[in-house]
Amino acid sequence: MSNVGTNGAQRTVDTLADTSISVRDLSLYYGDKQALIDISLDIPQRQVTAFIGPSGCGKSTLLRCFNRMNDLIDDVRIEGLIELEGHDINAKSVDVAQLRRRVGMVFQRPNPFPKSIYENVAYGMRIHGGVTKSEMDDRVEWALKSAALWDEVQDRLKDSALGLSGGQQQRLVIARAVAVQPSVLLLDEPASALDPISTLKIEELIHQLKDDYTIAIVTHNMQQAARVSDHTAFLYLGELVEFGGTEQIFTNPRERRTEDYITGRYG
Amino acid sequence: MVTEKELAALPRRRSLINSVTRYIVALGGAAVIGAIALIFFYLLWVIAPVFVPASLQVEKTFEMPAGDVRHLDVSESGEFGLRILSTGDVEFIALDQEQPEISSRSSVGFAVERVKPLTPMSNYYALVDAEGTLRVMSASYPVSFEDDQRVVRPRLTLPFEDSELDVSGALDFDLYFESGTALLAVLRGDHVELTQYRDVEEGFALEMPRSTQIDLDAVYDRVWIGPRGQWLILLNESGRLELYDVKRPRRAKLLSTTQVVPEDGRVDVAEVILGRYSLLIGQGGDLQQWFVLRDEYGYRFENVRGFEYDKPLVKIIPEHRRKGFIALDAGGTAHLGYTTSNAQLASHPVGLPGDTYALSPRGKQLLAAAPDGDMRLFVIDNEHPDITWSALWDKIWYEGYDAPVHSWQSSSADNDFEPKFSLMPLLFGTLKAAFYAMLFATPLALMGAIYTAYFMAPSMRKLVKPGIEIMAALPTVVLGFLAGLWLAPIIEANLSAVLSVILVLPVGLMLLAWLWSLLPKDLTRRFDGWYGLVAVVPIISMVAIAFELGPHLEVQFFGGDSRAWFLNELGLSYDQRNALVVGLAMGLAVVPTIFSIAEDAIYGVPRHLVNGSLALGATPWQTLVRVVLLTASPGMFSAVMIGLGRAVGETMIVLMATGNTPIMDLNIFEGMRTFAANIAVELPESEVGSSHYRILFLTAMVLFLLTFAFNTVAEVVRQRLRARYGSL
Repeated sequence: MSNVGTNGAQRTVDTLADTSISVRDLSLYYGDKQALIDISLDIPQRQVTAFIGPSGCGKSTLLRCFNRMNDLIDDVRIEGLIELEGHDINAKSVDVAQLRRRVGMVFQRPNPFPKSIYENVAYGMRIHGGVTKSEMDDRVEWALKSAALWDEVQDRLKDSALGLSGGQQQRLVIARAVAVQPSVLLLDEPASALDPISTLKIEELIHQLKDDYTIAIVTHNMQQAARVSDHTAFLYLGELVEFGGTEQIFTNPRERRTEDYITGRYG
Repeated sequence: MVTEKELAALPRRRSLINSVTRYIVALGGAAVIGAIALIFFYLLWVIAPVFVPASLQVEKTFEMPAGDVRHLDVSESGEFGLRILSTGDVEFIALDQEQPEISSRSSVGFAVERVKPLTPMSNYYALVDAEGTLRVMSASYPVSFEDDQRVVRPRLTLPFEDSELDVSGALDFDLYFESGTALLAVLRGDHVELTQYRDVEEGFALEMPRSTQIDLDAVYDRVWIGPRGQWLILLNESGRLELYDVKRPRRAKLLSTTQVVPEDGRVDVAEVILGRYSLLIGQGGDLQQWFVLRDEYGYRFENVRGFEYDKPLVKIIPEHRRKGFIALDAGGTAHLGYTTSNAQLASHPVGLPGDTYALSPRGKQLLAAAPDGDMRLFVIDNEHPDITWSALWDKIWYEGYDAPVHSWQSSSADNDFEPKFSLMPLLFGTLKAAFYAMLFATPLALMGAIYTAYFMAPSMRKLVKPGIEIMAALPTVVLGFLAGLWLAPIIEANLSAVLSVILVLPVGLMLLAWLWSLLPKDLTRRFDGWYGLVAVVPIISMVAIAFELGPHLEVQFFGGDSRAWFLNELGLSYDQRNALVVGLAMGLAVVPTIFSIAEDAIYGVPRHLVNGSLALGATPWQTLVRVVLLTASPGMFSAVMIGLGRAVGETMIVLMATGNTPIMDLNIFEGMRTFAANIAVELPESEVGSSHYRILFLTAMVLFLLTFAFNTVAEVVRQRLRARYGSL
């Protein structure tokens, strides 16, 4: 059940699942340099979509288009359409802060704020307001449980988040993102700075989270993509080369370039 | 092929360079610490003598022929003692010899009953014979050089020839001689005979007396002529003290009457101290200082401070050049005291109460003579009696003041003047200047730093940051000069305009921001990060508007004259060079320091923290307040503290733009004097080794400790906060 995009890459993978983010003919320029070329794809709801590709292929840039983090960079120009559940996210009426509330993001390096564990998780709620103290406590607990961190930190919520290990910090950051109840979670190489055991925990977490959230993950690690994702998109030099079910991409890629990449010929 | 030599040679050279470099670096570091320690110890070394206790010790004892000593004195240089005997013999004793002996002896030709030194001159003595005839004698110590040897041949003269004044029947008398006028007060119980001689010249007789009799309301037994011959101070045994104004003797006027001891008490000893404004009055072991002060109710005597002694006092010997004294008790112990600092400095047994004593003019020797010819010479080491820790920091009641004050007044044209060395006005001035400078600089520098680091376009930041930092290179003498000579007169002339700038600028900027938000987004987006530049023109025009508005506001709110309004309505007097000018100028000098460190701290907040916050849906403003400033707080705090340290130590601006008035008044329109400016002003004119000199070093030490404390606090807090927020 698939059709072929303008660029030759497969655009949608599973019409049974609703589309969360839909990208049409997306091109992105850093000044004169084009970083994304005519990308079109649909990211299905409540599933994990992995973006793989060699360094500089534009996978992180693409991810950052989904919550408009590229706005922070000077001289960036975007063409094409990105829709979140049918709404154009680049429309004038869209407030970027509200968009980012719906589309949470976790970065490569754990970046907890220099505050307590509790305050880190509560940060998003405090920003958006309208949450009472008891609701806040409940939500913090829920978010930490969602991120599988509650058991480890429940007795030291007032301690500085900077005292946690790297893996714990990354799960804390995920809890922080989850706490504002987004519909999409963007994970930008979330485990690349972590040790194998922490990586494993993050991967387990992703499995649990996909029941509730649409997850888009950028990763360098093809095994990780194969382990955690339902769908995989392979980007190369700013182009979407191939997009399909993870199993299909890793076992039976349609494109020569995909095969070369996953068999380690470049990247 | 690699030879063994090759392998050995290189490491040796490397290790040499390595260790040499290490030692050079270590030496450099140690030298810096050493230099600071040396400065510290040098300051301590100069200051230390101030706090060394005074001492009074026997230097030598010697025998002189026995005789009834009527008066004893020591020459200015301390080389000669002078002994006036009842026989009329006057002996000069060479004190500087190992075994002092009489170097010359002469006779005045009559039996001397009583001797009283003239005031305020040294070496003049009023000699009274048995008939009550007073003759003036003077001793001089001319220096000559014979065979390159310094020789002093003391000489006796009768400066007013054989003028004979009548003091017969007097209970007491006082002879005052200064600048061509002699004044003789003869106390005969219930009246004083006051005789004035004008156009007095040495070598000529005292002529043309003008006598007046002042009738008293009680019987008195002691009289002193007050400062400049203007007052008559009278005291009797039962403690009644009176002050007469005798500027014009024929119209003498009673100024004040006081009872200085309880009704049934009696005065044991009484003496005036230098300047003759103060009396030391002793009853038993209790010595009190009384002086005349004038307030809205007129003149009055005030008991200012007291000294307690174990034994009753028998004699007070005032110092000639300072407001110190030696109190001699019935046990023969001399107590060194100082009035202003209320200090009891040293005690030492010196002889018997019946002996005659003389304190040298410089206060460095005490000579005692017993009737049997036994004499003792004591050395006094008492360089800084006026300075004690409490005298430096507490309020002190100075002569002539109607209340104790903190005062810094280190010099004057008057010899009777007592220097006032309270450090409080200087500390106050230092902190006041720093406070107003920080009031201006802190918000400006921190806001500037926040804007530059967080909101400004990178290309503009590249120009702005070094631009502001280069302001730090501006010599502060230029800033001070501009502040004192250019800015201060402008502010004085346009006070209401300057004040309206403070009002117009924030309101105007907020209005501008609101208008800006109304403009279409497409237009404003193009100026992203360049608002700062866009705002320059409106800011300049707002200042111009404020200056236009100023005169109108002045008419509207300040009744046409803002300075008069402040004085009348708020009691704020206006000084041209004031804290406002200093706040602006020194604030400007401090801005680059604070700005630069704070900007680095804010700019150094990791990008991933900012992105983390933004990605959670925080606005840039929320991110700034909740994440960026929190993370940058250690750096911003130390920026402010280092700025404060700089403001406290800054010299040229406060020197040139404050007026250097050592007053304690928080009024922004008044000047101040800071430690640094005070050192710059006074050190060149202070005598090396004097109390003044050492106190200036003490202020340098206080300044050093103050800046040291600020910088240490800055560093400690920064380290603490960095430990908390550091692992980012």
